[in-house]
Amino acid sequence: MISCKRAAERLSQSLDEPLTFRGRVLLRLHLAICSACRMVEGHLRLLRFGARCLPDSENGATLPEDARKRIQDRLAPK
Amino acid sequence: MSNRLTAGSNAVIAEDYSTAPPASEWVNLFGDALFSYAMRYVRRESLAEDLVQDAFVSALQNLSKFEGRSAFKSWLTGILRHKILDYIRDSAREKTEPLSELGGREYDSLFDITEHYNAHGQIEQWDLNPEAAIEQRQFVTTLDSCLAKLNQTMRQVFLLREVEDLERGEICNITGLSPTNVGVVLHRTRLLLRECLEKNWFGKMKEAP
Repeated sequence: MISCKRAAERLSQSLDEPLTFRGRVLLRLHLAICSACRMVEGHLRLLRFGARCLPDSENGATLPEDARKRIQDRLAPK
Repeated sequence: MSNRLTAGSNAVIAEDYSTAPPASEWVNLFGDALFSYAMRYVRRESLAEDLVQDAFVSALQNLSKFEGRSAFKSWLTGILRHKILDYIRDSAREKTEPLSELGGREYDSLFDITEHYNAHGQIEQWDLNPEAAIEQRQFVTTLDSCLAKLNQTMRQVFLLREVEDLERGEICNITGLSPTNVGVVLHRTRLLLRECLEKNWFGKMKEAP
């Protein structure tokens, strides 16, 4: 039986590339008996969903005033 | 009459920016959004400002290539994205961080000696109702602040994979990391972000009445 640490590595890997048959079986066997890792599997999916929402979230970073002026002058010289 | 009609329909198009607004409006309309985008990759303000400026200037020079097939904001963001990737590519040549410095210690501390989670019994299901916009926004905002705390390479690799949707091979080319190391960094980063979200999002949501 693989450890949680190995299971976590395979969970993450499966988000980037298809696992080998052996890798998939070992992971499924572990998940079948380990509720913590089943939760983590869901968390990693949600993490991916959240990351895809990031570009639409401005999160309060605002372009500083002097940079605004500088760029404005480059774009539309008075 | 026909003139007024044309003017009217142009105004509508300008509002959803499938035609470019005048360059004098760009900073006001898109400055903060582009700056936020750049700040996720490079935490240094002056650097993010330069990237945003480069993107705007290059958009102005290439305005004739904007064909209105995408919204103007997406087109601008695409230009910024190229500037960011170029910057990461150039700066990757200057630094070689040992893998152990990329979250190795923090990652190992998540597990006990038998490689079980230290918090094994306490890991719970996260309920994020896809309909609940506020909950979702809190989740994404917390993720953003968790990302900000990470080492720069880890953050960039994660964003290249999850936001830009690049394959491992492309991430290797941009960051100069080997394919194996990209895998390791992605994995550690995901688990550390999971931990951070558990503490700062799920934990707080549970405390709230």
